Amino acid sequence: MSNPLSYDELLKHYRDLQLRVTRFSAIEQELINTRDRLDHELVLHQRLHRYNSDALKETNESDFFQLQTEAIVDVFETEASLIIYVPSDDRPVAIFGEGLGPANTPQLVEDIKKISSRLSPGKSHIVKSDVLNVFDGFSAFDQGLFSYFKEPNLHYEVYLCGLISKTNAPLYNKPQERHLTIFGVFTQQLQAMLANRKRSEEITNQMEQIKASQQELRKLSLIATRTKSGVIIADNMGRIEWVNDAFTKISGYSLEEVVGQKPKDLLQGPKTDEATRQQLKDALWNKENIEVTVVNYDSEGREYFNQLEIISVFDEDGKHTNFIALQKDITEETLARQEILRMNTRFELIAKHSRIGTWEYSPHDNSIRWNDIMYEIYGVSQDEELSIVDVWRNSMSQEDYEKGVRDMNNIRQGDAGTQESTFRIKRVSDEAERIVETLMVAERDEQGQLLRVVGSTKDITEELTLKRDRDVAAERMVTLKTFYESILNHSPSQKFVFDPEGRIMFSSEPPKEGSIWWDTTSKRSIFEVTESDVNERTWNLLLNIRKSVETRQIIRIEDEGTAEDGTTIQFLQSILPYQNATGQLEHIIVTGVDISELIKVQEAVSRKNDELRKINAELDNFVYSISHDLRSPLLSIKGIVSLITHSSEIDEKTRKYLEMVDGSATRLDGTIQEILEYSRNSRLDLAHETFDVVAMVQQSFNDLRFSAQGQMELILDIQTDPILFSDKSRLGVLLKNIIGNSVKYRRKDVNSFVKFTLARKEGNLIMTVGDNGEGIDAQHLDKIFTMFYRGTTSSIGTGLGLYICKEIVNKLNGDLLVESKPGEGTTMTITLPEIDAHE
Amino acid sequence: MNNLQHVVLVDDDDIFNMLHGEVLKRLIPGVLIDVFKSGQEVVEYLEKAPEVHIDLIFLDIRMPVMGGFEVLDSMAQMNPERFAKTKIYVLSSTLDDRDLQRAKETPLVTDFIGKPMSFDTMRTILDQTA
Repeated sequence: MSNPLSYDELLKHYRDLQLRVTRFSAIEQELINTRDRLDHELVLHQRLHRYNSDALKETNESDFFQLQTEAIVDVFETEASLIIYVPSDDRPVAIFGEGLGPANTPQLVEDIKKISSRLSPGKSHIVKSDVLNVFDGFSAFDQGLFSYFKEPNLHYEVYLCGLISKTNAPLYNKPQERHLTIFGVFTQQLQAMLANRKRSEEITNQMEQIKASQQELRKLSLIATRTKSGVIIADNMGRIEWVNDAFTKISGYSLEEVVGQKPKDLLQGPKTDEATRQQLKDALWNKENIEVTVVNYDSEGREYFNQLEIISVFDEDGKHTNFIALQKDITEETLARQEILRMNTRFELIAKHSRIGTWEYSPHDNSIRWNDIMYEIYGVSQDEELSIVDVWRNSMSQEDYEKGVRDMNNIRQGDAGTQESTFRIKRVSDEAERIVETLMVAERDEQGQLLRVVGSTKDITEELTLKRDRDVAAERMVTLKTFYESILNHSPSQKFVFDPEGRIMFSSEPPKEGSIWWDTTSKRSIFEVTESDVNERTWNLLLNIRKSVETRQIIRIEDEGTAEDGTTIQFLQSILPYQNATGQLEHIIVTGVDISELIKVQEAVSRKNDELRKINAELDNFVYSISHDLRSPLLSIKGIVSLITHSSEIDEKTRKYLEMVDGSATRLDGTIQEILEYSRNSRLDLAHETFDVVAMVQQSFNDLRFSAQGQMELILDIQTDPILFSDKSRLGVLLKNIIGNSVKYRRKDVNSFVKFTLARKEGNLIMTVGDNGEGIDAQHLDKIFTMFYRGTTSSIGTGLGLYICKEIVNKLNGDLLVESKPGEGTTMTITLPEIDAHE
Repeated sequence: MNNLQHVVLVDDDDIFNMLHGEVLKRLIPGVLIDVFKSGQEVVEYLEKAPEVHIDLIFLDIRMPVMGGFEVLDSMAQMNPERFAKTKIYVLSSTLDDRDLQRAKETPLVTDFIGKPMSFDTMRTILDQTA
């Protein structure tokens, strides 16, 4: 048996027991606390789980975020919550739970970013008042749970926080470790959920895109199948994967035949242009799009023009996957176009050679284009860059211009399909008046809208003149024909026409007995006739016809025939070998004319002529004899007067009388000479010879000078060869008379002169005789060439001198002009056509 | 002034013979002047006296029976040496160019002078003859 416990021992046990109880209760408390914490965590997890399942169901993004903010308040029992979502476009969205409103959103966004920048991403943190106080948006709060994450691939950021304010802090549990863990889990779940949402959104989008492209593809393949254009789809190496029916139709190759082949090996051939071939090769190599027209060959070797378009196809990553080639058989169009071009070229060529100008008016810009010929018609150079409208406008009268504008308007408004007009224009280069004919046509599109007005213009001036000339000639020909026919019918000649073989074609009368023989019935050729067949006269004529045909010369022979009454008739036979323009013999025309009467008349005329010639010569001699006989006594009177005046024994009065006698004798002599000159000029033929006119002038002046008292000077101004070919005797009389006037009417108070000039101009001889004499009053000037006109009663002339001068100049086909001023002098100008001595 | 000694005047018109004679006498006093009234007379004279030297002959063209040109024709038949030093002037009041032409074409003729011969003309002729 144990011993009873002492107190001390008991106390010791008690204390020990007490210690144990205390320790146990602490453990118990600890256990209770732990259980509570675990219970809370469990509650939190349960809440979280509930929210998550709700959140997962949420399809709308903003509702999703709203749920999440509410979850922060509910799950973590915070006073307030906030989620900031910054998507890739950087437009932050703030979602508020309880205890915070959108009043200060930008500040909150800025602050939360700054707070988070101090924290690790993807983890949860407890932020205390010392930090929160620094930021205005959060200074009202005492503690907070913060976390954030960034999705680098999807480019968005999310900031989360749950907050407890100072004032309300005691009512709430301060965030603890367990909150931190759960907030971390919450954040991760949110991140995962958001990522899932994004991905599923993307997938949905892709699905939609795929659906859309599938539709597109269906449409495209439908088009590719149904289109009339040939379609080739080739891989990135250019090998055919697919062709449509149209391709088969164009090329003759089926899909099975061509799969895996390169189109160029199938389609290109000898006429395929080498440059185009290279162009295609380059484009394929560089994966560029290209559009060309190329000559291709179908399965049967037929060539066709292929309008080809190749498109390179790339996938989304920019990788080259396919070529699509569209081809169209444009052979007909090409051939038609080539034909049109050829026709155009041909037309231009024709226009150019036929001197037709072509032009084009475009109503869109009001411009006109001309071809080269137009410029030539209007006589302007293309280099001058003139406005065509101006040239056109200025080339014609107001009236024609208005007509042109009217025509153009008719065409433009469609009142007329074509318009043809004639205009008178003044050609710029030589100001010549020309007549042009214009034809204009409107070109319209299918809607009837005016595209352009095209026209042709032709200078028809020469044509018109030719036509006029032709008309005149035709009219004249009709007149001539009638005229010649009447001559033929009324002329007394016999006419026979033979063909080149010598057979008679026409005879004006039947052959008569004893006349020339022609065989008109058998039509035997006259070349077959022999000498024994015909009479001597016919034979002679036939020989001459043969000669005429051989030499192609007209032959005329005179012979004698016998008339019915037995008298002899003289004939003139004329043989004409008639040739056409090319020199071919067409007819032999034999004409016989009875010239018996003619010969008689000719002989009579010839006799008369001889007589006349004799009479004329006698008359000439008679005139000379008469003038000589008239002059002789006169000249002896003058001689005696001269002799007397030279003797010193006479007084002044006698001397004066003698001078008067001499004057009268001189005048009478002048008259005789002039009458002779007049008579000779009108009666005698022109007789040209070569002589020195200056010597003639000097001689005349010297002869006359002695009759003048006092000094007078002869001035010569000879610009040309003084040797002339003219009627010397007439010119001598002419110059003698004119110079004589200058001497006669000289002024005695000055140093008088006669000036003779000679020049040649435009085939004329121009001689002037000028003086500084008395001159002629204007009132007499136009009468001085009149017969017997005398300016004054005191005149020492006869009034015949200048009349004879005028007559002589007329005879020489020339012109005589007088210029005179009283007191200053007179100038006579003689203009004579120069005659070539060799003609 | 002048050593002319023998001048022959041939003209059917006495007045001209007188006139020309007077002019000559005044210009060459003492000169011998033979006057003939027709061509025949002068030809007869020339034939009868072939040795006589004549310095100067004034010969009219238009004369009855035998004109000046016929005289010149006759003279051309004579000894060609005879008139080598004789000046022969043809004188006329003719207006017929043919006469002038013929005078110029006749070798014996020195010149043609229109009537009446003035003092000036005579002086010029005498100067040339001297």
